[in-house]
Formats: sequence, structure tokens, C-alpha cells
Amino acid sequence: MMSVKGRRILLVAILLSIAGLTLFSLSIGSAQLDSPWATIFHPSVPGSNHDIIWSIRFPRILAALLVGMALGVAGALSQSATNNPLADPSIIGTSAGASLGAVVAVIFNIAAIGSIGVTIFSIAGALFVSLLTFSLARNALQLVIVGIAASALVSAVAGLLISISNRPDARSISFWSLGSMALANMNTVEVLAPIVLVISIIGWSISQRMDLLVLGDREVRHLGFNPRSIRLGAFIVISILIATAVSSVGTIAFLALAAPHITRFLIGPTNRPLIIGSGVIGAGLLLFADTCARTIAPPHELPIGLITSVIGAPILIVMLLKNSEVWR
Amino acid sequence: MIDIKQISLVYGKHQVLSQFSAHIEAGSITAVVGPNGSGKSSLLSAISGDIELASGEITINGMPVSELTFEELAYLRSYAQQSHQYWMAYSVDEILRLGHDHVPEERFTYIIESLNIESFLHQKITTLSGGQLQRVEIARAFMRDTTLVLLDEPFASQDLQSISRIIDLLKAENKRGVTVVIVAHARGEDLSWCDQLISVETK
Repeated sequence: MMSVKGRRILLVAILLSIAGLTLFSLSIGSAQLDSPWATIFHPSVPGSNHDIIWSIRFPRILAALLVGMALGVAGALSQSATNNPLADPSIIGTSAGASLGAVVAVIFNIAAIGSIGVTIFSIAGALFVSLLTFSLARNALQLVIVGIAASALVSAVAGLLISISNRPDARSISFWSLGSMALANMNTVEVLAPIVLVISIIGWSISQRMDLLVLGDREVRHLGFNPRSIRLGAFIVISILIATAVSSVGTIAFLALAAPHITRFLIGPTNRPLIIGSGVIGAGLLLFADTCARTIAPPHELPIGLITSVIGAPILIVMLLKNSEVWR
Repeated sequence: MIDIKQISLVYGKHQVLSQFSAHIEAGSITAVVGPNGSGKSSLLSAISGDIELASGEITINGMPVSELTFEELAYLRSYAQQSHQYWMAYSVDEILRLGHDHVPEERFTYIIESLNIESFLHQKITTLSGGQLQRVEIARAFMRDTTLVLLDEPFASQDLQSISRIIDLLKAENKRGVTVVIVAHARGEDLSWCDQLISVETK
């Protein structure tokens, strides 16, 4: 198990890498700029470069970092809350509920795409499905089984609503099930930043008690705690984080599963450092994936879910093969 | 200490115990014995407050178990399950300390030395053998220093040396006033060191 000092050094190294990646990501894109570094290091000088770098790329980078952080933290909490290394927010129904909430808000003209209204509906949808799963399941295993069923049902309802909608922009609504950073702007960041940062801190603060869940529900009760109460807090935090991410940029595959596993491989399973590490690694991975998505085949943009899977899956498999003791 | 009064246990349509009664003295070592499927472990779970009774009552120190909260039961008893499957690779040291923040270091060291856990204390819990895992469960049960300790088949996966170490620990804790209840197979096990045997027959 890595020492506290070792963890801190690793965290600083990853943060520095993300800072470097942020600068690199600001400098490249489908628009070929003459001297991007001058604009990056002198942001007050106006011009066309300035608008591309600071009004288009910069908000998108911030949104990628925040969404990646939300997915990483929510993924770590999902796995710890269900005591199941396969669980991610899509398995316990949260992502599908968030998508359904957003789709309902847009299709019935209650809120416009990208507005805080959609986020609120998305949070309501995620909370509804997560808490339904939570109330129907009696133990950690049932949580996953009921979650998969609820997820399938709710996804089908969202798909049906989109299919029968006669709105001309129905296709763009399906963006919630595919995921894309292309629409992210400063408004997106303004919605994401306060919610993701505050709720992630709350997630971190409740995560220490969640370590007990590894002992199994029965032993948690023997210690005098109610495992359902511990899980309930986690489910609320996961729902808000996932709904905020989904309503902003849609569902992004694999990251919420991969980021906590990569972190656990590096620093071990204890929840407090795991939550911080998963948030940081999730942020870095999504920024890297989005930078690839918009620069590999310009001017076309590749689906970000494909990139996160292509990057995350091999890392996960290599780490698992190198050290199978991390999981059973 | 423990009064088991006319209890019945039912799983679905299957009756495990019917109108079963027994008494366990404070400060004793008691073994619950009987054939497979007779309800030994269920009886231990019922004493622990983990399962609901179909009828009857169990009291610990005069208090009905069914009326006690998680917190109240946690002060009264600790419990070592036969085995538990771990999915996250915490170290053995971390697992032993979970929920035991206030256990004095001397107590911690005494328990792990008694059960010969020091040699794998810093190993990942996911790498242990069945016998080692079971000793970790037993160690966890004794960490909190409760007056009643319930152990479900503590010798099931142990070699002779480990069985002897576990019995020595049970006796030493019992001398300090701890009431110990274990589930055991009567056949093939020397239980002469126990104060009382409770026999549970197949219904």
C-alpha cells in the first residue's frame, strides 16, 4: 500500500500533467492558429486567436475537467456503496434516470437544452431512479441487479419519448445517450463548477464511513451502523454528480468505471484518497479523450465515448493483468 | 445472560427451529452442536439479532434482542461469521481496524499475536487462504472487547495448531469474564473444554 507521502507526490505529478495537458489542449484544434502560445500566455491581448482559445477551447477544457471529475468521484462512490467493483452509475440506474429527466424537460418544452432547468430535471430523474433502486433492493447484490433492470426500463422510456416526439430537434435530444463535449461553453461551466465542486467535497466527507461497507452489511450492523443509511447518502451524491454531468454533455461511457479502478491500482482502496484520486484521474482522462476527439480527424469530431473506451479499457486490462490482487 | 424461550425460526416454508429453549450462563463457554442444516448457525444469528423469530423470545441480560437497536446490540455482542468474501484489496491491518478506531494498540497486538496474524498483517485481504480469512474474522470479533462473543464454526478451515491457538484465546478471554458461544460439529471435535453443549436437532 502506498504511503501518504507517496500518494501526495503522485497527486502533484498527475496535477502537473493535467496542467501541461490543458496548455497543450488550448494550443491545438481544428482551426490552425499562427502563434497560439503567444495568446495563451498573453490572454489580455484581443484578436481572432483570443476568441478561439479563450471563448471556445478554454470553456470546453474546463467542462471536460469538471465532467471527468464528477464521473470519477461518482464511479468511486458507486463501487464503494455497492461493494462491487463492477458497479458504475450506469449500472445502478443513475445515468438512465438523469437522461430521462433531461429528455422529459426538453420534449415537453419545460426547459431549453443547456439550461439550469434541464439540470434540475436531470437531477430529479437520477434521484428518482437511484432511490427507487435503493428502496427495492435489500442488499448490495440486489442493488446491482435491480439497478440494471431499472436502467434498461428507464432508457427504453427515454428512447420511446424521443422516437414519438415530433420536435424537429429530436435528433439533438438523443445527444444525452451518446455524449458530446461539442456544445460545452461558459454557461455549461457556470452550471457545472459549483455543483460538481461542492457535491464532490460532500462525497469525500461521507466516504470514510463507506469503508465499512467492505465488511458486508451484516458486520456493518454488528458494529452499530445502518448500512442502508450509509448508502443513501452516497446515492444522493452520485445522483447529483451524474445528473449534472449528463445534462451538460450527455452520457460518457466507461470513465466512471475506469477512473476508480486505475486509482485503486495506484493508491489502494481506502475511500478518502480514492475519491480524490478518481476525481483527478477522471478529469485528466476526459480532457485527454476530448483533446483526441477534436484533433485526430479535423474538422470532424470523433464520439468522445469511443475515445474514453479506447483509452480507458486497455489501461484497465493491462493494470489488471499486471496485478490481479487489486481485485479478486 | 442469554435466555432462549420457545423460539421458532422459519425460512420461507422451511422451519429451522421449533419451540426451542435454552439458557446460557454469563461467563461461560457454550458450544451449539448438531448435524448440518439443523439450525446451529441460524440460532447464533438469532441470538445476534440478525434474523427475526417466527415466535418466542431471546433476551440478553434480560433485554429482548428484538427490541434492541443496532447501536445497543453493538455494545453487547460481537460476531465472527464463518467466512466473508472481500472484493476490494484492503490490507489485513486496515480490515482489522475498520470500525475499531478506539481499540487500544495493546489489545490489537495481543489479538493478532494470539491468532498468529502478524505474518500476513500487511498482505492484501484478497490474497488470504480460507483459514487465514477466518482468523481475521475471529480477530475482528475480539477487538471490541464486548462481554458476549458469538463465533460461527471458528475451527472449520483451521489446522490443528491454529485450532489450539483459537481455543487458548477463547479460554483466556473467558477468564476475563467474556461469554463465548460457538457453533461446532459435535462429531470429531473435542469440546470438553466448553462449559456447556447445546444440541440442536434436525426438525
